[in-house]
Amino acid sequence: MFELRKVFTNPAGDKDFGKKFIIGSLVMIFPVVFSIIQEFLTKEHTKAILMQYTPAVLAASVLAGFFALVSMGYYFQIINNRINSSEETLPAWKIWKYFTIGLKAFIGIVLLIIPLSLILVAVVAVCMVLPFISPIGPILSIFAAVIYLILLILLALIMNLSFAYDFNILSYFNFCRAGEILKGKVFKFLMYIGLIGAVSILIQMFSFLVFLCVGIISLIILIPLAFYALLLNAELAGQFLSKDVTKEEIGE
Amino acid sequence: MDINFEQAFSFVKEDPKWGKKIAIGGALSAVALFVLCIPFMILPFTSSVPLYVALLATCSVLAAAIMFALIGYPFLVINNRIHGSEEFLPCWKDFFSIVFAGVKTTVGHFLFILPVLFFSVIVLLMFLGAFSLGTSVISAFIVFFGFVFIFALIGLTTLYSLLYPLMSGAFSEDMNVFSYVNYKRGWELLAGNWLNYLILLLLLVAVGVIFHFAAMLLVLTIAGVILIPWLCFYACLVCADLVAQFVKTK
Repeated sequence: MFELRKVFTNPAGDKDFGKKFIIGSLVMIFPVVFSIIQEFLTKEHTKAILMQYTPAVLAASVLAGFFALVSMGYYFQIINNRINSSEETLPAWKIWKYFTIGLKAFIGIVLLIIPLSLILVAVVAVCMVLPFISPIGPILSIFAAVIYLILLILLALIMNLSFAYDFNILSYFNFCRAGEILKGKVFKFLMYIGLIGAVSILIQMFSFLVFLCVGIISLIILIPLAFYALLLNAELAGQFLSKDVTKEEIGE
Repeated sequence: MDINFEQAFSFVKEDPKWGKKIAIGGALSAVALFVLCIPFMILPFTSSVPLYVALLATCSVLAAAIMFALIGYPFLVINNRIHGSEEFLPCWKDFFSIVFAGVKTTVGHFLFILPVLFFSVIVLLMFLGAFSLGTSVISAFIVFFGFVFIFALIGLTTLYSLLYPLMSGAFSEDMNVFSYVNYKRGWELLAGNWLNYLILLLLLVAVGVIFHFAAMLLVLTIAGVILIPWLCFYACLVCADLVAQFVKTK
């Protein structure tokens, strides 16, 4: 099962933790900074949407996306290290490598979601159009959308874990591996969902408190906090995927 | 010693009569809701005011008694778990002692949140004062500080919700109303144990996420909605064991 003490202490156990953490925090600042720049550069008075995107705005958007994908790639690399029982707790920063991994993950998830979205559109269309179910069509559509959303979140979570094994885009469609990951671990998966949800909620609560105390200066604290949340999530995913050590194995 | 998340989900089975006790607990949750609804269901069919008032009072007292029992039960479980009782799920035959534990918990909780309530009243009075002054510079000044106080109040509420499991643990050790505001005891539990407290907070929120998810699935099945009171009762017991485990780590 999950060793929660390790979730909090493992990242700090790396010999170059300070250096890697600062680089990670800087990488996470860039998407925010470039998004703000993009907002400032966007011409709101321009009615045509395409005309809003000047080369400078586009460059800012691309850079924001670039660094967001780098963070994503780093997240998957940590999980991969944990699966392969690598001694390196926090991987060394290789921007281009993590960008490639992040880009592959992004493409994979988009390819996974698009067909599923088309199925939902088809289901909603059927619910609305067919005369014998159209009186309850809106209710059925809402039900279908909620079920779809739940399934999509679960599927995205499990396929992300499948991708972390080999960084192959096709792993997003390797449902056999997803089945193997879940085999005998459904309860653990439920706990994993609960824990990543809890990390997100607690980080938001702390961020809110920090924001109330120091205002806009809190950005200096919140970005490293967001990077720490990323490390916690990666560690939880790693622990979910790593083999459970039995009491016999540890000699108890 | 670490907090064991898995154990919190399975500990109830260690009690010899766990099935019956959880079934009664869930049923009482459902009954409390039903009893509260009775006066509203009867209202269109009654013309006698005294009879209706009597019914309303009876239902309110009955629902309050059940609610107090449901509030007190998890705290008695924490107490039993801390002190290592074999039959840690209290028997529903001792209904009145469970209700009494619930009353103590409610009073303790009230004492705990008293500073937040006091602060809320101040904010309310500030706004009432500002509105009674009409459009003047002083009024604008008070409104400005009122908004600052609202932000402070939100921060204080967040801080209190983060401290709530800690003080609940302190209260459950001796079931003394004033233990809820015994910050010295709270600090003793927290000092040198902050990582376990962080883990406890994480796990309590995770339990919330898991049971919300389960409740959502039950809602989607429509008929499964009936099971939600039992699910909530079980979730309270899981949280109770987590708090007990935290207190025992010290």
